[in-house]
Formats: sequence, C-alpha cells, structure tokens
Amino acid sequence: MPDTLDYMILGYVVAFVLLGITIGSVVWRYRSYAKTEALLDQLEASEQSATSNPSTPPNASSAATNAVPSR
Amino acid sequence: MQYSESRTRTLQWLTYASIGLFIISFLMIFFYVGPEQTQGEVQRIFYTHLGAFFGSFLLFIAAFIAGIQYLRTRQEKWDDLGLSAIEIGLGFSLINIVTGSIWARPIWNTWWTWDPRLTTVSIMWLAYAAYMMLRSGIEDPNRRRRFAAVYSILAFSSVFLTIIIIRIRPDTIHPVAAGPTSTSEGIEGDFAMSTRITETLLFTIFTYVVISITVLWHRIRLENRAKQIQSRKMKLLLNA
Repeated sequence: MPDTLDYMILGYVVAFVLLGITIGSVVWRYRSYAKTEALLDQLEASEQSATSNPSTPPNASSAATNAVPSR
Repeated sequence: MQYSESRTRTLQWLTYASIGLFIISFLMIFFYVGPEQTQGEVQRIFYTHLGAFFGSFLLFIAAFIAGIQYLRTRQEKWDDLGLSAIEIGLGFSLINIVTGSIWARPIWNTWWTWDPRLTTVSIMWLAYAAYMMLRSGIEDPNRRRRFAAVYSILAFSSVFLTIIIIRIRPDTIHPVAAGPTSTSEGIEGDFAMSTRITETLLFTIFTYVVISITVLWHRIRLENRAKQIQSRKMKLLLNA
C-alpha cells in the first residue's frame, strides 16, 4: 500500500478551511448585521424621543444620532 | 422580516442535524472504512470530494430553478435564492476542485491536467464566479435581477456538461464514481467499491446535501436581514 497519508491530511485541512470560510462568512455577516441593527435601534429610539418631545434642543438629537455602542 | 416560529425551529433543528451528521461522517471516513489497498490513505479524500460535488450540484440546480421562477413571477425571493445558492455553491465547488487536485498528485503524479472533466469543472466554477461579478456590475436592481436570472439558467449548461463529459469523452482519465461510462481503459485511480466504502460515500453525500441546504437557508435569511437594514437606513436618512 503506497504511503499517501500526507496528501490525505493536506486534503482534509484544505477542505475544512474552505468549508470554514464558506460557513464563517455567513456567520461573520450575521454578527456584523446584528451590530448594525443594534445601532439602528438606538438611532430610531432617539429619533422617536426627539419627535415625541419637541422641547428637546436639536443638539440633543444629533448627539444621540452620533452615539456609538459602548465597548 | 418576521419568521414563523416553526420555520425558525426547523432551521435550528437542521443546523444541529448538520453538525451531528458532519461528525458522524467524519468518524465513518476515518474509523469505519479502512484505507484502500492501491491508493492508500489519500483515497479517503474521495468521500469529501464527491460530497462537496453533490452539495454544489444541488445548489446550482436551486439557482437554475430560481432563475426560471424569477423570470416567470418577478418575485424578489427567487433572486435571493439564486444569489444565495450560487454563493454557497461556489464554496462547495472549490472544495471539490481543490481536494481533487490534492488526490491527483500521488495518483496521477500531477496537481492538475487539462483532462475533459477537470476542464469542464473549471469552466463551471468560472461561469458561476462571473455571475457574482455580473451582479456587482449592474446598478439598477430590476435589471440586475433579470440579467442574473437569465445568466444562472445559461450557466447551468456548464453543470450539465461537467456531469456528462466523463460518460461521453473516451479520452478522460477521471474515474466515474456512479452510473454507466463509455470507457474504462484510460481511467486512472479507479478502485473497487466495498460495502463499507459505498455506505460511507452515500452517508457523506447525504451529509453534504443537508449541510448545503442548511447553509443556503441561513444565507437567504442573511439576505433578508441585509435588505431590512438597508430599508431602515433609508427611512432614517429620509427622516433626518
């Protein structure tokens, strides 16, 4: 029986890496969209509070718009 | 977009099933079936190689059907299906090509040769890669969807050609794993299929089919999510 173990290992490593990239790219985008959605939630909430409370100075609303999620 | 709870549960179940099947298939490849006598350990690549091919084949069929359905109905969901299927199919197809090349090195004594099957599979991969470029090159969404649908139907001819080429060309050296063949003289790397090899092969193909359906479903949901985010961004910009 020929010794072809190295090629088998190489084949499976490459296959798992490629499968990982294919699935990982979907997972990574899911997470990235989740972060964007959280930011949009914040922006929409500040927008709503600004329209429901017209006495709020315009600067307060723009400050909320520029808000970034805490780390 | 709100999804029904039963669908979400089905997707969750399918995801767990995919992970479970993948682990069982891995154990079968390395512990249930022994090494093949003439090729040695490298023959084990064959299971993943063929499984990935069937996965990509299924996804490209889905893209072909989605293309027809989009042209018939003009519903965006078919375009989403086509895009998602081709994107995931390209990944599976690449696994098929690269594992085949690694298997070929000790068996054919070369990483690559312009054998009819290898040539058609390369054309197939490039044809679907061009689909992604075509989409990014058209700005008008309706035009993009229409062109993509027509292209995905035409690109399917490369899949069909890849399947039949080893059955009609006598000068191929690529083994035929299943079905009739017109030649057996020039084939390099063919081997006898024992019961355990057949069982492991069928199980791995089934595993890859389930994985491809699961990833496709997640990818479609991702597309819906992207659209939802885009429309929310637009709304906020209009209100600003």
